[in-house]
Amino acid sequence: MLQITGLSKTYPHGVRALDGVSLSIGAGLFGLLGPNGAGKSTLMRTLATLQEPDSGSITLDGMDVLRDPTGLRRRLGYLPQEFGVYPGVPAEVLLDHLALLKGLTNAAQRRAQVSDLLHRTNLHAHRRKAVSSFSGGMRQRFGIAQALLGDPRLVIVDEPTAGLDPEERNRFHDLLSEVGETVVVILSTHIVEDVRQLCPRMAVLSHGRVLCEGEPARLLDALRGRLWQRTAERGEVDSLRAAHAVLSTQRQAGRTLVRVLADARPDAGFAPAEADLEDVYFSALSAARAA
Amino acid sequence: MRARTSVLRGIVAFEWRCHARHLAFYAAAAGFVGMAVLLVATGYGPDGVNVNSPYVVAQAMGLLSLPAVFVLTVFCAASALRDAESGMTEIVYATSVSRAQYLFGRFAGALLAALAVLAAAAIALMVAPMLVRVSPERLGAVHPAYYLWGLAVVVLPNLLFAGSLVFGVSALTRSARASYVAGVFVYALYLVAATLIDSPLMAGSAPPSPGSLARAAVLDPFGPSAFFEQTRYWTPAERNVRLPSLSGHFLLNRMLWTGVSLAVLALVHHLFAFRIAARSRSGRADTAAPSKHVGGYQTVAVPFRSSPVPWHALLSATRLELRYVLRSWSFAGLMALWIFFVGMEVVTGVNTLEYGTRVYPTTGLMAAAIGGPLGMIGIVALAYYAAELAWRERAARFDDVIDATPASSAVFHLSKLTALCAIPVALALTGACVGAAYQLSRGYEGIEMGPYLTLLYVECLPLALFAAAALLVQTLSPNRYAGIVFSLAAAVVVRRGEAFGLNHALVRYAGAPALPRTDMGGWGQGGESFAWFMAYWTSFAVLLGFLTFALWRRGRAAPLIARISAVPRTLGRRGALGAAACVALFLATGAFVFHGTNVVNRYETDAARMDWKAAYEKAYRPFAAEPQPSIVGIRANVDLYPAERRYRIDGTYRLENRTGREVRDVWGSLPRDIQDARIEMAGGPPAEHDARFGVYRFRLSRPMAPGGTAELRFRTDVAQRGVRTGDFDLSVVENGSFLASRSSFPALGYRSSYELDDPAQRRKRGLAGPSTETALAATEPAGGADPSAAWTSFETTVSTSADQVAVAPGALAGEWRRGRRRYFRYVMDRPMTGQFAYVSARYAVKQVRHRGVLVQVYYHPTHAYNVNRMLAAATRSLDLFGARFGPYPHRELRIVEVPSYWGFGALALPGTVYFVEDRGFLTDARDSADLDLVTRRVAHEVGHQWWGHQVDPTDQPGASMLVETLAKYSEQMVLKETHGERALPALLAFDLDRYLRGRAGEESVEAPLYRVTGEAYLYYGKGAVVMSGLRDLLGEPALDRVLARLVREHAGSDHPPTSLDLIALLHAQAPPEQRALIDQWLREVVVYDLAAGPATCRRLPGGGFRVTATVDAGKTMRRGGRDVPLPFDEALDVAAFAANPRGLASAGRILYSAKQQIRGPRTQVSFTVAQAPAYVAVDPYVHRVDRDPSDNLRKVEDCR
Repeated sequence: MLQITGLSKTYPHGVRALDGVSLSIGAGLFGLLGPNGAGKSTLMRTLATLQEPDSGSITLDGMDVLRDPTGLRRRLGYLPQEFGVYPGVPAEVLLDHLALLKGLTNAAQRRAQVSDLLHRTNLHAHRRKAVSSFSGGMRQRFGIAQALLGDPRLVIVDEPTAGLDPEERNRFHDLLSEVGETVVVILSTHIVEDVRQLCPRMAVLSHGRVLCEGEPARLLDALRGRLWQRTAERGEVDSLRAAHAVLSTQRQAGRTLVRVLADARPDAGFAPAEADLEDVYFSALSAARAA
Repeated sequence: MRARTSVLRGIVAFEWRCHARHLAFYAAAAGFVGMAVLLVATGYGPDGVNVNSPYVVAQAMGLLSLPAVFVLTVFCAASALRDAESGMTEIVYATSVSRAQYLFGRFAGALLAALAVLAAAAIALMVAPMLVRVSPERLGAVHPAYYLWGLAVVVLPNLLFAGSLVFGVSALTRSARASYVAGVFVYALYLVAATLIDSPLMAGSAPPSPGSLARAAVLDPFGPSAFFEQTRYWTPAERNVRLPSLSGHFLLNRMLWTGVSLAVLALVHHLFAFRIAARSRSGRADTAAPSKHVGGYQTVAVPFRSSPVPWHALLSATRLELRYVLRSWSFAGLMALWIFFVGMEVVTGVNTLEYGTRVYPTTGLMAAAIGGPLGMIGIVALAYYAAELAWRERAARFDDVIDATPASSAVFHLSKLTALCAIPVALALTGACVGAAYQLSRGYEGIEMGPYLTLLYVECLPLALFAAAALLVQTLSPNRYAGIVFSLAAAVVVRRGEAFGLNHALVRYAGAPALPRTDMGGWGQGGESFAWFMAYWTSFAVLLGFLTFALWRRGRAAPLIARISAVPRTLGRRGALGAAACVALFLATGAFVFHGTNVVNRYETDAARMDWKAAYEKAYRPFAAEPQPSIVGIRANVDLYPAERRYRIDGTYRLENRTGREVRDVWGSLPRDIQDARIEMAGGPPAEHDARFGVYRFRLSRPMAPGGTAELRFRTDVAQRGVRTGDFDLSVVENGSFLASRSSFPALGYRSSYELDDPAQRRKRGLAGPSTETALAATEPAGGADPSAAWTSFETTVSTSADQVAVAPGALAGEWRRGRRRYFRYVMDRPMTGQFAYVSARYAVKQVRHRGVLVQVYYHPTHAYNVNRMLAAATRSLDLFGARFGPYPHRELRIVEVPSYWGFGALALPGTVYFVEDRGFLTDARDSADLDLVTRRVAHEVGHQWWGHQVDPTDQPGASMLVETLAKYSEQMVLKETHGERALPALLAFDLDRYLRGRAGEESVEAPLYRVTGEAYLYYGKGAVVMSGLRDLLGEPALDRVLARLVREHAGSDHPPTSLDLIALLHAQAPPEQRALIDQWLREVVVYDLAAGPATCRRLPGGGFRVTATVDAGKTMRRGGRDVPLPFDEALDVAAFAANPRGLASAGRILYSAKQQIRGPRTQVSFTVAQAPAYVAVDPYVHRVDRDPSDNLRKVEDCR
């Protein structure tokens, strides 16, 4: 159980990256959605003990993370948004080294886990090649392998699927789901699809604040019957924006599909629409803008 | 073709405009103009040479071309990177410009801009003397040609060289930072290389051999060594007018390095990929085969604190860091460079000594040769790799992953520190391999591990301390480049601490006394002090390590202030305890060291010591003229305790008033560091003791009448205690003690040796300049005895530890053991001069009894190489000198080896000659083509048994001519007897070189030989050539008669001779027409300029060849500060050879050799030889002081 309370962080140049974030996250996959610059990575790094918040508290299973970062690091698996490696070091050697840094001193257990993870991430055939020579997808898989070393209670993956092809992405999702059965897994992404497929719980973060939080189904329920859509000519979009709470616009075969949130049908041109997670995301963002 | 050149011209012009528009260009130009003006304003150049003379101009331009490396770096980096930085890369690369045009156009533009900056500086050099105040006597006529010459010959090749390297790095890496680092490295490596290849010029200790000068002249990439090699004999007058000529080594140097530059550019052209650097990667192929391995994800529990120290992680991290460093290209490059430097230092540097001879490559010598450059190169390498390692995760963007692991920061810190420390260790061990390989190649069998391994302690430990500090600097620094600069700056401050007011090694990080190490003496006293300083600095370095650990960047590093304020937390309780322990250890060892250096021993800066000397002179000079008694008898019991480094003296002087006046006060003195001393006059009053100067004044209640006697008793107990910063008293050491009377026995009267010599320092302390105008007069036999002519009897008992032999002057009158000590009694059978010494070591002894004289060599058992040669030289010298000069006065002659840290080559005291290890005992005399240094030196020192210890002139100008010049003559005599007449020209060529170099560097006025004081270049260099000339002029028997008479009239007498006495004897022996020449050589400063002009040859019908040679001859005499030509009319040797004689040492067959009368500036001589001659030479036997001996040999034009 990860408990985040009132987490705030302001950077020296005045950007307020986190603004009173409070979340309570249990075992399973937790999706953290948000546009670029929402503060996701700051939150991830703060959770990974790589930077300190100005105020607030974090506890993992009752342990104060900010007071004892090393204690958290012992139970942490972290896959940063983008990362490099020592050039020229083979995957197996590097993974073994990271396992040692994580405190796996028992050689037999360590070797078994390294081998298992290399198989699991489909890198076993490449274990003697330098990670620095890997393609983006392979490197990302190496990243998840190292995040799963040891016995993590909290796994943080920051934008993990960027740059992966669909097949790789699926395999990645399978692995995460499996891990998420026992462990807190926080998946930070700006891809709604990832969250929809994987996460029993989610939150939307923007401008350093949690806009909404819950199970995706509950959040969808809140929009049921209030979502409308119509196609519009190019010239019409601006006037529609002015008149209605437009959630999103999407090009469709030369015309624009406009989705609007309203308690009643805005006008005859609109038809009721089925809400999906993307609408949850956009409605949360637009509510934040309106506030 | 035309189109291509115009494209190139276009690129160059474009580049030039780009540079010329930049602020940096004007800033650089302004900076260099400023530097040039400053050089002129501060009077750069030697005294007496005009600030705008060709010599000073060339030197100044050479000097300015060094910082020009930085200007070039800026320009080259800008040139190579401009497109990439402005995002124009693709556009430019897609044009039709060829690779060569693109590259060289850019380079030429940068070079042109830098040359323009230097041209501005040259103009400033030319104009500045008219604008700023320059002393008028240092101002000559303005010649723009000098400046153009400097730009073309000195500056342009230097810019080309540095530019090619920096531009190459810029073009290949396309990184501005790499370019700047390359610039700094070119500069730093040049400085390192210069100190290494220039070692003869920079150190100035041993006279450089022509070979090492030539090597430096060719290898010095920026050329100053070549410039100095060519101009080293030039007098100020020549330096004012002569333009260095682009020939010989200077030409070779310029061609070599221009060639290297072009090769570098060609390589860059070859490597430069004319396309956008692709991020090529291997192994991208991803086998998409599905994993056959399935099953649940298994976690592995992390043991909670399995051990307090994460050994496994530390080991793994260390392995990765080491692998990174040792496998990198930069390290391979460093190693290549290192092997080159060490090889050069080992092969040509350390073991080439005076007269071009070599010493055996002992392991100690090899280790010293490796240790010097190791310190310098090690620091540069560590500064670089500390940055590489400290920023490694961040540079690879691996930091987030690494920093989120639970591993302690200590793992990262310690693994990186270990990898850093491995660098100097690798350097030391590689150096040791090079040294051992060289030892094997020389057939030297005494290779030892010890001295090589001590490098790890003496050199690598301080470097490891530097590594610890450099890691801290990198942890604090905002980026790695700033970190490199900071750590290098700190290293300079620490290593050159004296220049920054950090005198005491307690305030210079990793500072420690330099350790004199020799085969005989081991580390002497230094080892212990060094160890204490190392303990002190190591505890500080560990403290720095704790700080580094606490400040280690983890994650997105907070601002420095926040990290510093977080230190108490990040340090943790164990860390805080450890740091506190370090502080305690640091303070405790510091207090102990300080107590040793400043309380137990004397700590004194140079300035304080000079103040002390000045104060002594002011206090006691007034009493110097008071009459003092002479020491006429010495009895002493001396106990040496080598293992404890302690000695006790209990002695008595018999004093006699040999002046014509009453002695009221007796002034005794001891070296001031001898505090535990009792001195008393028998039956006299107690001494007034001035502890500051070690002076004891006895006010006699009853004055000593002329002829009266008295007794002075003294007891001292001197032990070496506590830590010192240097200036170790090495008198009594574990093995190889050398206790000189001067530094351990009381002296009487004023010690003029305490006086300051440097006129500037004297003026600063309100002392008048040392008086040079001492009146000099021949001895008047009728006058009173000279009180300084003290001949004394001597008897002593010396004891030492049971395993050692102790030696003192005199015949061995007894030897016994008592307890665990060994006693020797020595008695001198006849009065001797008042200097003597005691030695004690585990000696091996070899001896012969030769015509009633016991000749003994006491040597370190492993240094037996030259003992037989020494015995042969000593007996031959005794025979020759005994027959020619007069009988040898003693019944024994000893040659004793002492450790090589003593500052003399060899020292002759009555009946005993002391040789330091490496200037005789370790001379490698196996190559018979080398000069026989061992025989030369033995003969010289045995000669001093006549010149110095029988004929003992008073301390007046010209005294050294009687002592040293005549010893030089004595050595020539023995060498001739041993190896024949042909051995002498090679020896004399070195002596002449010494004179010519010495006079070129003379800061005041060159004295004539008969008034020589401290100028070794005169009494050794010129003296040797003059004696060779006198022998030729008067004939050997006549000269020997003169010297025999000098000995007869003055040996052991109360009327010591002066140089005028010798001149008078020479005059008496010489026919009148030769007296003028004798006066010119001895009483004036006359320099010859001889040269062999064109020589032709004609085959005679009846067989044989008629040679017609031209001899150019001139000589000048110094008159009122100017060289006045003298008419020339002398008989000189002219010789013809069948092959190049190369100093006559090797077999260049002499076809003809005879005196020819040379009159006027150009004389034709002709003679007939049987065989076709190849060369003719004038004065081939070096009988004249010739200002340029290199033109005395001439190839004969074709002989048909």
